[in-house]
Amino acid sequence: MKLFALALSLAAFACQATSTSLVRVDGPGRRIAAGGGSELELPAGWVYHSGPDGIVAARENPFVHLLTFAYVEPTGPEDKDNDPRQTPAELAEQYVAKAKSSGGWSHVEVVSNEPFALDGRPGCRLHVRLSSPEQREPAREAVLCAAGHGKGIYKLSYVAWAGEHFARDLPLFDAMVASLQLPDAPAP
Amino acid sequence: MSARALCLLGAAAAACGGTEVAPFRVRPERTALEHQESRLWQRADEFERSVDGSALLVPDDALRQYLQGVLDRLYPEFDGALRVRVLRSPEVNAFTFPNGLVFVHSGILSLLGNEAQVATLLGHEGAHFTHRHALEQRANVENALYVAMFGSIIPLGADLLAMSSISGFSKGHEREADREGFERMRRAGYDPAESVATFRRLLAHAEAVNEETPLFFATHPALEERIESFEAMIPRPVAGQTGAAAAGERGEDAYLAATRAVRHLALEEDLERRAHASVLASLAFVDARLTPAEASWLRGEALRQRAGAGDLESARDCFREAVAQDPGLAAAHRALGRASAKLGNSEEARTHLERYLELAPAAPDRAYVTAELVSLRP
Repeated sequence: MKLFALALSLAAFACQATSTSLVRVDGPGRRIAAGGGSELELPAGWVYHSGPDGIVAARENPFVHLLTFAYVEPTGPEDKDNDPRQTPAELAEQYVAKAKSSGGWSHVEVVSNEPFALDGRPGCRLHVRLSSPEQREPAREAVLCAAGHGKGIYKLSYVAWAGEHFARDLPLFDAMVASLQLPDAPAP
Repeated sequence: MSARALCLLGAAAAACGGTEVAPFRVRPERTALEHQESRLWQRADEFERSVDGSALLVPDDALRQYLQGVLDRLYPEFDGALRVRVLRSPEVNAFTFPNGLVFVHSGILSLLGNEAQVATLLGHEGAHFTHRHALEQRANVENALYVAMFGSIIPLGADLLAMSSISGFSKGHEREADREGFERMRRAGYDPAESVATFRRLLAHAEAVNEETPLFFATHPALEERIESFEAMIPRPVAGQTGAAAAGERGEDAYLAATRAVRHLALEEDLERRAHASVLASLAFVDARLTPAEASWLRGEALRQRAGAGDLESARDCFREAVAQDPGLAAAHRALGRASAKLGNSEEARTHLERYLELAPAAPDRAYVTAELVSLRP
């Protein structure tokens, strides 16, 4: 929900060319601080907004393509969802559960769900298709990579209209994920 | 404007526009319907076509036929005008369209215990159709159907949720449907006491999962009042009649057999959604006809997901029970392996994760388990 709020704020900012909160990535190789002591590279030409909950970036319209980065620490011992000691399988289980119980989509198809190394740290990579049954075809596709490290969870996601739109910018998301550098930290 | 906002507007309009109409006595002819009612039916027909064959329905035709049989037994003179569909949804709910289509959520089916209880539910829903409550509340229902037809804008699940929670019948209509439904299930030969048991069971589940008002009760009279009114309707035993003949039919075996698959589906979907409170509540008082090993495994998974103090140790004990009860239950070996790894028993973890991969060589999570085994190497 926080990411959705960020997406909305990005959409609002997109209407204000003079806003200083919205930054265009002016060329390749530009590394930015991404929270939790990490750094990554965003795709050249995209605009992004960096907030306390993370980063959201879009090519043009955040409701068509949306990249996000978030670093989340548990709010306390009861906050199991953001416990970095979760195994990759537990992280994946949690994100599948959230997708299936979000209520906004009637059908969630898990396309792939596999272990994935985020800057060498064990995590998960989840690809889902989201649809409402009467449309018969998926409306959105999303991929999420996450790993626990240090005191929190590092999460990167990409959501786009299903099909061509999703496929077009998936390599940019993979490049962004590959560019992530996590800080040195003891194992959680 | 959101679906709920539209529906609330509709409800407000309905509050001003209700009119009494004579109930249907037999299967109605479409050509005999007045314009307003005909329009309601047409919109319901369009919505029915969009839902049929979709992923929103439980693809279990035997279950649909079984429920249809109960509905036909309750309303024999309507000759199939009332039809039933099972929605794949964890909500504890059911609702009826103006054209006689009754939607029952898989979530409510998984909580009921016998045919008499589902007859209580279907009797109530059928009465909304026979008593033409949709026409009496037409502004509300029309708005709900209007919302539903925006399927390309608003995901269908949200529409159905909106429709089901506002199906818009007044408390007077709900009481009328309760009375008519009760009379129908009694005359069909079901045990009237099961009507009370139905609502007690739903109330117990709502309390167990800490749900304030299940959807089915959202627009209904207060649950306690409802239970009391059903208790008052139960006839006193006739002198000389005793036992099953006096009580009527419960149909436990038939119901549990027909709904076995949907009960398992509901439990597995609850686990997938990490609705551990619902799983534990269901295991506590619903006869899901699970094997002892399945029940131990499910209880362990729900405890693991709850992750309170001591839950992981209790979960591991459940998983140990499960593999002892059924050494071929692959999911229990995986669960025991993972719980043991978390609790620092690497040897037990390796043994059971390896056994899982032997039992389920094509498991979709094979890569995760293989990686876990690598991390457990001494």
